Amino acid sequence: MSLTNLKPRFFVSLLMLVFSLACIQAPVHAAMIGTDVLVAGTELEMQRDALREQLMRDDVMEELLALGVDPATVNERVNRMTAAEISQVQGQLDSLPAGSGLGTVALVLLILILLEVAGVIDIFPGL
Amino acid sequence: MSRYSPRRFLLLSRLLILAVIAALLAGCSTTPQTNALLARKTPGIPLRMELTTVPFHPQAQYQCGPAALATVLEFSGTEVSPAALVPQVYVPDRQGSFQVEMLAATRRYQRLAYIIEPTLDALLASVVAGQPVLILQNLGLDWYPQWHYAVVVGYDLERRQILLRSGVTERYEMAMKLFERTWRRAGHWGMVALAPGELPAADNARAYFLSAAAFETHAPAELADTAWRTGLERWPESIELLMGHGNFLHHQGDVTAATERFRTVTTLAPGYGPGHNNLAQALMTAGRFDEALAAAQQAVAIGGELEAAYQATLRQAEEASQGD
Repeated sequence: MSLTNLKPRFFVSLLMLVFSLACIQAPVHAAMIGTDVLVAGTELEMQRDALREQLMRDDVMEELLALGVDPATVNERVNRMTAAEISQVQGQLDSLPAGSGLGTVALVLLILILLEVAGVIDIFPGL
Repeated sequence: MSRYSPRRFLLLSRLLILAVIAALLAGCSTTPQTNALLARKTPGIPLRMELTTVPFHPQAQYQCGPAALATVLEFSGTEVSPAALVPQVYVPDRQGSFQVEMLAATRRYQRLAYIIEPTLDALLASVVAGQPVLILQNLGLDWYPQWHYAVVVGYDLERRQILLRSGVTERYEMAMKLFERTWRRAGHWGMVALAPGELPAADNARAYFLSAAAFETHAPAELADTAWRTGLERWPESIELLMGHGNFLHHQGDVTAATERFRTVTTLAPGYGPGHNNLAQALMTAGRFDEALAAAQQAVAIGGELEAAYQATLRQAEEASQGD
């Protein structure tokens, strides 16, 4: 291999190295105080940590899937939530209010209990 | 007959249960907001109000969420059916919809999801301003919750009623006290869907800022810009709105306008670090390195919780001005 062949290759490699280094440098606006930080208040703890947020999003997604949400839509649903909303609901979807209106089962049960207490019926002999 | 006969035991236990239920009901029967409102000599709002043009979507079983959401979205000018909202807000195994998803879906239809203050006054003020309020109620008890979404479309102070689009009832007249109890058990939660350019009834810049910041994350740039500008017309000296709009403009590449917003922040609140920090960043983007350096130094001098970010800005500004 002659020197004349090597030179351009060397320069191309060098150029590529320079470009790849430029790409992994921190973005220019890294030290901008973002609106998301202002939303969270200025508590350091709440500062947006991209990795942590992604983990929380994944958690919420799994919780929704476990609650029967369609896998085809779950991604979009979770992505629509803000970082603040994600941190509010993460780990709590089992217990958070889920508005549904009065279910018929609940209504029947309620009436039965009232009737039982009033002494009209006796289908819960323990009472 | 023995003193401890089964019959006597049955009677005693029934009485006990009745007493417990009475105690539970008494515990949650106070209605301070309604009482205060009705006791006022001049309520400060019309005696009755009803937004009769709010559409009605009767709910399918367990799906009051999609129905209530379609109601407020349609009134706000977005045509969407409850059926189209089901795949976005309904959670099968909970047979219901979560509040966060109601907010997120509202934004998907390019409306700001604005959470009202948790008071009856704020609720009625929204109605007076022509904005129906989507609310969460607990129709059951604290220990036996029955969560339900409905839309408040009116009230009548003389008849002491709240008017709702609720479940399968188009015009549900609910006693104000009963409404307050069911609403309080759900944390007095309510939201309005605002079209970009529309303002909430309440004078609360922080609440509007929160809804605009969430709206911005997925909105087309033009609509997000409108939302920020509308807020700033109403609250021109809100630091958070100025910062939010400044950040938005900077992100959009309108450095001159962004610089102006941050400059206003530093004038209005000289001791507020993020204002100087972001001003320094915007000035750097504009190539005005000496001014950027001065602003960054200001931010570092103020210090505080975000000092690490200010230091990073200062280093950038120093490098930039040396390279200049």
